[in-house]
Amino acid sequence: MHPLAAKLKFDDQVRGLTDNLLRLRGWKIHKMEYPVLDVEFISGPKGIRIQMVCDDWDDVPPSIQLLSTSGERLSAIKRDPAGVFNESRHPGTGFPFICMRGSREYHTHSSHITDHWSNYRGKSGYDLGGILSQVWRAWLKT
Amino acid sequence: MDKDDSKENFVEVSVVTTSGSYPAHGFERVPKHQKVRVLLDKTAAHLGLADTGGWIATVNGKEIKVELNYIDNGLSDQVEIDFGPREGGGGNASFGCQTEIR
Repeated sequence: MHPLAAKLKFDDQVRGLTDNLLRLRGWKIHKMEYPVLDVEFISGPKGIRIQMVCDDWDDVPPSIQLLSTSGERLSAIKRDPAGVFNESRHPGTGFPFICMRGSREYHTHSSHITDHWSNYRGKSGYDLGGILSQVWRAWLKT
Repeated sequence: MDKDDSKENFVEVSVVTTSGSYPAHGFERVPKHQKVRVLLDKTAAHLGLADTGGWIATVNGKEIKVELNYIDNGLSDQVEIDFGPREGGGGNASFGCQTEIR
C-alpha cells in the first residue's frame, strides 16, 4: 500500500470516532495521527490504552500494543474469558498481546499463520473502529 | 392532535457507531412499538455499513434485543444505542493462540 493511500484510508476510518462515541463508550483519544491510533478505555475494570500502529493499512492489520494509562508498555495483563487479551509473551514482540483476528500479532503468531488477514480485510467489523470495538468489548469482560 | 401522534407513543433515538451516528445530530423520533431493528437497518444504510448481522446493540452497557420494540426492551424518552461488532474471539476459542513463551 502506498503510504499516502494508507494514510487516506486511516484518516477516513478514524473520522467516525466522534465526541459522541467517545463519551458513550468512555474512550479517550491520546493520539489519532497516521499511523498511530492510541485510545484509552476509561470505563471498565481498569484503565488501559490500546495503541494501534497502522503502518501499511490496510494491506496489513494494525499492530496492537497494550499500554498503561501513563503510556508504558504493559508486561502483564489480565486475561479475558475469550482469551483476546493473551497474557503470554508474543514470540515476535516479547509482550502480552491481542489474540484476535484483525490484530497483527494474531496473524503473525505461529498458531495462526495460515489464517490470513486477507480473509477479513475490508469485511464488516474489521475496519479500525471495528477492530477497536472488538478489543474494547473483550476488555469489558476482563 | 391525533392520539397516535402524541408524545407518549414515541421515543427519541440516536444510534452511535464507529463510522458515525444516525441521525448525524440529535435524535430521531420513532414509534415505541417499532422494532429496534428498523432504525438499525436505516442507520446501516445511511452510514454505508455492510453486513451488520453479527453486531450487537447496547444501551447503558446492556445488550438489547433488536427484534423487540422499545417498550419490550424497557426503553423510553431519549435513547442512545451503541451499535457495533461483538468482542473478538481469542485464546479459549478454537482459533486461539497457544502459549509459547512464559
